[in-house]
Amino acid sequence: MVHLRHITVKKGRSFILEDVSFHIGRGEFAFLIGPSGAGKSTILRVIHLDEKPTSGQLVLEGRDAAAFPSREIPLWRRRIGVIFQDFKLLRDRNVMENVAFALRVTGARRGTIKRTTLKALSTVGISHKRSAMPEELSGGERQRVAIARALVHEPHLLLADQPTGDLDPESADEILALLTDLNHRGTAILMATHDARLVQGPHKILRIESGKLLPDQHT
Amino acid sequence: MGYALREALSSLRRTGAGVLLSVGTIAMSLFILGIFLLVTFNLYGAVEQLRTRVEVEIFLKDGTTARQIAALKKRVAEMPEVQEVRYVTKEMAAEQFRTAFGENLLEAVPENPLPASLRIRLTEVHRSSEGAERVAKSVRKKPIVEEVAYGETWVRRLDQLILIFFAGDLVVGIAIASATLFVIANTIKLTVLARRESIEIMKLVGATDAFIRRPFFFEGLFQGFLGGLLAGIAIYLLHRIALLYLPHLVLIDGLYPALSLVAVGTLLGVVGSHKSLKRLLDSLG
Ligand SMILES: Nc1ncnc2c1ncn2[C@@H]1O[C@H](COP(=O)(O)OP(=O)(O)OP(=O)(O)O)[C@@H](O)[C@H]1O
Ligand SMILES: [Mg+2]
Repeated sequence: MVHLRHITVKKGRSFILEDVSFHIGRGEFAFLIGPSGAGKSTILRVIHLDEKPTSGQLVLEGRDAAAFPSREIPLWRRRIGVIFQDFKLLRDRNVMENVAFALRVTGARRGTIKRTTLKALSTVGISHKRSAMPEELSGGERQRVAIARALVHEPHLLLADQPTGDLDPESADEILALLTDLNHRGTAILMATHDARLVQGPHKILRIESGKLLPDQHT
Repeated sequence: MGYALREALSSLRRTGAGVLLSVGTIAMSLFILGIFLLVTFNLYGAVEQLRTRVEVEIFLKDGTTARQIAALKKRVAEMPEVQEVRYVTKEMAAEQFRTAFGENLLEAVPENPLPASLRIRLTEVHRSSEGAERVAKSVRKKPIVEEVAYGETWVRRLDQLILIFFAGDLVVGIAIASATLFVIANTIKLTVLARRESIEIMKLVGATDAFIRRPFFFEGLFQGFLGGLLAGIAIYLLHRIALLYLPHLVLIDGLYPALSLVAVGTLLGVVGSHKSLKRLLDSLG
């Protein structure tokens, strides 16, 4: 589904990513681990088409991303969800509005928005807090809201950038369980993390250090 | 389009105080521009008023025949500088003198001492010392002409005054206009930057740039228009008050400066939000 082939990202003279190649198949769950500054977020940004590789090829569902016209970029972004360590919720809107936001700004119809939002909220188990404002929620709950927002376009792939980085161990486990559950329903997941404790299960592990992928780390 | 309007309105509601502040800032800077426009428009009007008084008078020798006068009148009327020529007979001149200075003065002399004349009104572009002088020069040497007068000194002074006025006005105008542009562009930029987070998220979830832009178009339009309207109303009222205190001055209609402010505000609001949004979207990649 997503192929990175010899992807290199340079900023000025320094290599942020150097000759990174890997692939994520349909319904796969992969961990992306490595120290701070290794380039994990950069890889996710490349896949999300936020960062243009300096060289190398990115193939998305059989198509070369370099050939995407710029107006197709938003359409690709709707097919993959993203979540972050800092949740990126809008503080001035409640839970329901935050999730609905992703649909409203992509031109969905009102009826669809309501139905899809409620469904996403129930998938992540936060329906009961739908009128709460973000600051009234715990970190784990906020991340659930962010996940719900990422789900409204029914993505094939969910990019998670240290989603448990700000959470206590218990909430982190719950979020991982939720992601695993989504994965079982068919969503491929690429999760960047520092948290070695969470890296378990029959998942692909991509180790990255100073912009380079360490060889043969599959389990 | 429904989304964009609703989003613009709800964001205005959400950031109520901020919007008031930016509308107020826009109104204030446009108001200063408006004062400048009001002064300029009125000074310009006053100058035009003065210029219409530039008149060339050709005094004719006594005993000139009607034919000679007609011939001269025709010649003068054909000059490009001339808009209108009036023939003023000795009797008309005396009459005018009487109304201006009273009966008695003329009764003292045995016969009417005032000469007949041709009074020339110049066309608008030639109402200057050069224009008047050209007309004067072309007739001064004619045998039937006694003397030509157009108030040389004051016309020349008027010319200088106009030059200084327009040079000064231009400098001040450019300074005020740039300051206004700067203030409004920055005010609008701040309202766009205040929404940076939500714009970032819009891009994240796959909103198109066009979709992100639309509410900002309406917000910029609304803020610029409202700021312009407030400034316009203030300027209009100021003009009305000025009319009360300066009734002898010819003040031109305050509606034009007021309407210009609404137009400028709206335009700057739209262009400003478009530009700062474009810069932000480009930086977000
Ligand atoms: N726009 C940029 N310009 C220059 N250098 C950058 C830029 N963005 C990232 N970097 C550098 O690229 C490297 C990789 O950054 P990245 O954010 O991908 O690391 P990371 O693995 O996600 O780290 P962390 O675990 O701390 O989130 C870092 O050294 C960072 O300083
Ligand atoms: Mg990172």
